[in-house]
Amino acid sequence: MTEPVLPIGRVTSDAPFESSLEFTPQTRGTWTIAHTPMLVPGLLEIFVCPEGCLRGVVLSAAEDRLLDRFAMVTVKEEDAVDGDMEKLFYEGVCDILDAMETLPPCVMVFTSCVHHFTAIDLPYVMTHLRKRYPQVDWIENYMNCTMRQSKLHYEEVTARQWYAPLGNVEKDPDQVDIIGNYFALDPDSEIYSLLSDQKIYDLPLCETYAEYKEMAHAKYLIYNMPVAKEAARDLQARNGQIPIYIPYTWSMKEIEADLDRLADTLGIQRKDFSRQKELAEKALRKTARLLHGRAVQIDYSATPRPLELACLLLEHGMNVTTVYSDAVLPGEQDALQRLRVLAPEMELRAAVHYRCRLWHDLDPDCLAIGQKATYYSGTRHFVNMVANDGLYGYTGIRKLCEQMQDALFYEKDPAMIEIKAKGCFG
Amino acid sequence: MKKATKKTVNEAADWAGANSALYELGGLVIVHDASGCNSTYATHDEPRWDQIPSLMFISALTEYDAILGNDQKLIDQVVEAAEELEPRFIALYGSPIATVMGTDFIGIAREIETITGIPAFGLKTSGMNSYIHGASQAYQMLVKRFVKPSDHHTGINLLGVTPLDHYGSAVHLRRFGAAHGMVSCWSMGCIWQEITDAGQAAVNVVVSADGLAAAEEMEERFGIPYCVGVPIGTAGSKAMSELIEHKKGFLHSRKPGHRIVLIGEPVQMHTLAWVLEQRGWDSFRVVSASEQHVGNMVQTEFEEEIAKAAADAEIVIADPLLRPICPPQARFIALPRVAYSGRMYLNEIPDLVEEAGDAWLEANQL
Repeated sequence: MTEPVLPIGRVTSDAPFESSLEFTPQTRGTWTIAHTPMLVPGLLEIFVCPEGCLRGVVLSAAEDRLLDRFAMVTVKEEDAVDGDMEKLFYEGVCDILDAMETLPPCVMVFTSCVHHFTAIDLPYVMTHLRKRYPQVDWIENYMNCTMRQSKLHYEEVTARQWYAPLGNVEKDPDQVDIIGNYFALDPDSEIYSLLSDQKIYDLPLCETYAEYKEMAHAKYLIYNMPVAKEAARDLQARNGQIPIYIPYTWSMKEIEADLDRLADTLGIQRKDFSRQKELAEKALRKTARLLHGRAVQIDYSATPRPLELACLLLEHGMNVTTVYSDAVLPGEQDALQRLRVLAPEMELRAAVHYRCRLWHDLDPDCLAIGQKATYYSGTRHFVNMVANDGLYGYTGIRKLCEQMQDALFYEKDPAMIEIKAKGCFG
Repeated sequence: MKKATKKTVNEAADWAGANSALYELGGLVIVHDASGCNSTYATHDEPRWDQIPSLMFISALTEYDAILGNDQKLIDQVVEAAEELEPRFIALYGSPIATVMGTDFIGIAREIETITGIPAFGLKTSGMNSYIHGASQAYQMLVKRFVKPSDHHTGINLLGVTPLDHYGSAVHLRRFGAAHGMVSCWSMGCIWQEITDAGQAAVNVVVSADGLAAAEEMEERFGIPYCVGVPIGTAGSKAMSELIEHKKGFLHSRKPGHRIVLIGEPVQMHTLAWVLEQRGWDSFRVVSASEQHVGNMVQTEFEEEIAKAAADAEIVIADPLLRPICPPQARFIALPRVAYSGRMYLNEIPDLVEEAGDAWLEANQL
């Protein structure tokens, strides 16, 4: 059995750790399938699942004061075996909608793994629901966490389904959508600066359902998270919208190339961001000086490119000792090769392997970026960053450095990493 | 339609009950599921997760394991972990997908025990029953596998003490138990030897429905009688002491009705009804999701039926998340439970035992 910790110099594959029993660290800031659809204003979630599966999603909604946008239909053992699942599904959903004074503009229904394996005829159910409630936009979604090795991960499917009601309408060449994030892209970022003459729609900023539907008019879509690739593909196929992948990168070289590519694709003038780059460099140097060799740990829940972030910080004199990630994530292969030369002894640690249960207070003096790094290190000096927090580019680097400096001087209560879905409130 | 829920939540599921029962006992516990079960349990149903270490894991089941019935992968992973972690026992049970797959946890456990020499057992959970169903099986299995018979009997066992139902009262329950020569407390604050020595007790005290099956098992195996109830308030505590002395009895009200509706774990609610009766109240209805029937109760987990059962109530005592479906004219008295609202009202879960229970009753004008 491979140890769940390896010096990065010995990591030669994208899946360096063997599969095992898994542990759940008490880090809850990432958004779940119950939280992300709430970004669509007015959407009602209806989960049709066994009670064990419902427990997590319904309490997520309750904790975030979102129970008015949540309903459920309980699947019992007899439903799983008697072949009447379609009837339960249809009648349960109808019962919920018929009890409402006003119908929601959009309903997202969720199946669970059980439906997949008992082969429910979901298209049949959806056809009849659409017929009965034609004024509602219906979206199917699938809480089937068992599908871990399929071509599409269920999180990619969910990200795609957020945009399912967007139809093929007339396109506005001056409108750009940002898709796939649960935090709004930082308006101070170079992307916004570059697109100053464009109309920008970002799902977390949509306040009404009508505003959300306006997203269908964008000619271009920008996506930053790899999990949004499927959403981009689908919108291109259905609506002819043109996706542009501008990843949440920490590589200065890639930021420059991506911004130029974005400008060229949109047919707009490139901009000079050397001032922003200089400020980022200055912030990095200052942070390194203040850290004075103090260890830094990073994890994959903070950013989709933790290895790249490690490279950036190491190249600017910071002592990154550990990155927590169960795999080498998409887009990180170059960073892996650089790290194997730059810091071959830096540790790559798994985050959910059963042996992680035995990790406590690994380095309480370190500065952590991300909740899993915070949890395992035991530090009170941390940047509570989740999914990049919308930070992008040189400005993103500068702002992260400022948060690191703040974390260095001011302790935080680690209990905050147990709050589910950072920033999602009803 | 009864299975549709529009305003409230649902109770913790069977595997969470089993987890809660086994949590502090030093076993390696595996829920056969993809990922969500453990995360849900650790976040919402287990307040001890960060305070007390445990060896509770998920099997990380994938679709290929499900389709191909890859039990060998599960066996290999459990054996590897067990050989490294050296647990006292190994427990395996599952989620809805394992049920649909027809996973034979009993057979798999037998094989693991043969390989490792560590006692192993499987339970039948499906994620489609209440936590009482799961905790009950776990406790009963502990009796079958680990409790040693004894020639002499003295003192009591407290059965059914998990944070799901007794988060606020657990410490005080143990103190009450100690005053009655407690042999074991199943299973908060419990050391392993208490479990194996439980056969020495003269009487079992069932403080929640999930302890009933274990009590019946011990009666059958060792001839240990049991009584049912919780020492709520001074009156309840005195009454329970008498039941313990007589080695039988069930503390519950004999004034059925619908003016006061108590929704929650049935043993606790029946005892509370009895206590209220002593204080001059009458006309009680207990409503519970427990599949284990305890006394006269309305058994349901569904919002529509709970609302119907409480429709004519003048007073409702229930978890705060049930307030939206209770009649607006009724006085609502919040009594949070981890088994229902999870960690949402953790700091508001009262201690109901002995004089602390009196204080709660006074504060709520009961």
